Amino acid sequence: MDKSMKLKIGDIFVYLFILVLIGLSLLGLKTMGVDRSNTVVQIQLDGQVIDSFEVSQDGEIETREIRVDTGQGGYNIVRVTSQGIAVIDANCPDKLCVRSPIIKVPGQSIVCIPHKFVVRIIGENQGDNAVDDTAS
Amino acid sequence: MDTIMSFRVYGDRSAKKAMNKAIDRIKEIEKHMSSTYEDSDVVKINKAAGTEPVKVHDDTFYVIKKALEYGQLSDGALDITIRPIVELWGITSDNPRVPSKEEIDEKLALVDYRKVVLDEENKTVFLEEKGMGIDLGAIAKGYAADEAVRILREAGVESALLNLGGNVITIGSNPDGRSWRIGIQDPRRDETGEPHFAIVGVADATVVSSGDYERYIEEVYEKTGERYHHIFDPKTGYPADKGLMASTIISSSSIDADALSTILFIMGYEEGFNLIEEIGNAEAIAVTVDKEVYTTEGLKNSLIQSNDHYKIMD
Repeated sequence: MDKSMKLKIGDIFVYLFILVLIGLSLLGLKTMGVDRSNTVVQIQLDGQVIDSFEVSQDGEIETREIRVDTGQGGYNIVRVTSQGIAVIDANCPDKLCVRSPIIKVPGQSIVCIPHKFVVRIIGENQGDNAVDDTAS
Repeated sequence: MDTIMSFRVYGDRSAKKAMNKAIDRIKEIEKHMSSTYEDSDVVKINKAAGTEPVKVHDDTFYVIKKALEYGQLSDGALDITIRPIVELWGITSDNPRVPSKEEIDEKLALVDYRKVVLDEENKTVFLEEKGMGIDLGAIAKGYAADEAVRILREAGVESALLNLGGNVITIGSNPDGRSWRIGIQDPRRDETGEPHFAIVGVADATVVSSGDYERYIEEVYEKTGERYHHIFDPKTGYPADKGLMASTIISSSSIDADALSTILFIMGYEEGFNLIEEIGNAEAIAVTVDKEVYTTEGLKNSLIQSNDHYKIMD
């Protein structure tokens, strides 16, 4: 039996040390904010921003549905999941917004022309000043 | 008028059902209490002013009763009989104007919440004088929010964020377990370019702001710099002018938050804060025209400043 194949106490320490290093660097990546940015989403009605919120980019997010009443009995329902943002229901005549594909990248939007409704991903958040909503 | 609403309800399918139910309830309340919808209780009451009592829905009766209580508590700062003044100025109409002092005084004689007669047994409301009129705009949205929250909670919703025409209502905390971070709109955001001047963390609470920035006569403002806004002082008949440009209330009750933010704006910060601390169950933020920010005791140290144009005072 070749002696060199056997693990020596010292080797185990080296391996452990490397493992700890890998672990720490992963932890560091996570806490250093690489994954902590939020995507900012805006909902506009007739050109006015009526709602703006952020979706966290780190992993799974809780599914949420947003119903927006667009006036004169109109509505659009937006669903936000970790896969992206979609309009899942609306009572507009053409339903083009409901058939629009899911959006998930800044710059993408879903538009409902009859309701003058737009949901748009506008980009990354403003760091410490991130809010869930604004009272006006 | 349609209130722009957005509902964020977290969870499964049953949450969606509850959300639609809550929205139907809000629309029902809007229908009963609108100042413009032809068949609303409010329009009927106003039409019958000086003539006869009008039977109203239970929810309208409750809201009017609550509003009159606030009228008394605030010594008339919140007065739902302000309608003749609102109409005279027409700030939210297509043709707003600055009326003469004579016109204002004439209409002001019709403003007195003590001349609203309630009959608890028959659920009727009567305005004593012809020409009187009520407007529930300062409080109906708050009531609607409380009802929406009740429906969502009954359906088991544990986390939600609603926005009813700028009033932000939260149920529970954010799904990540932290409190909701709510920005308070910068009342001069057109000048500063900042969306909010401060951020508060809340859970199970409503945040309501009032101010001179929401609606005002833009034409006059552009010419003279004078801001004739839509929140009237029932004592003068002119837009409230007690040194504030914005007020915010945080409370677990939306109807209280709605009423108190208007009251604070009309009363000014010293008198307003005294009243709010006396009533309890609410915290307040006031922004003066000099961009100084005052808060009630419970918010000291917890308000996060989010831009440098304002100065948070001790």
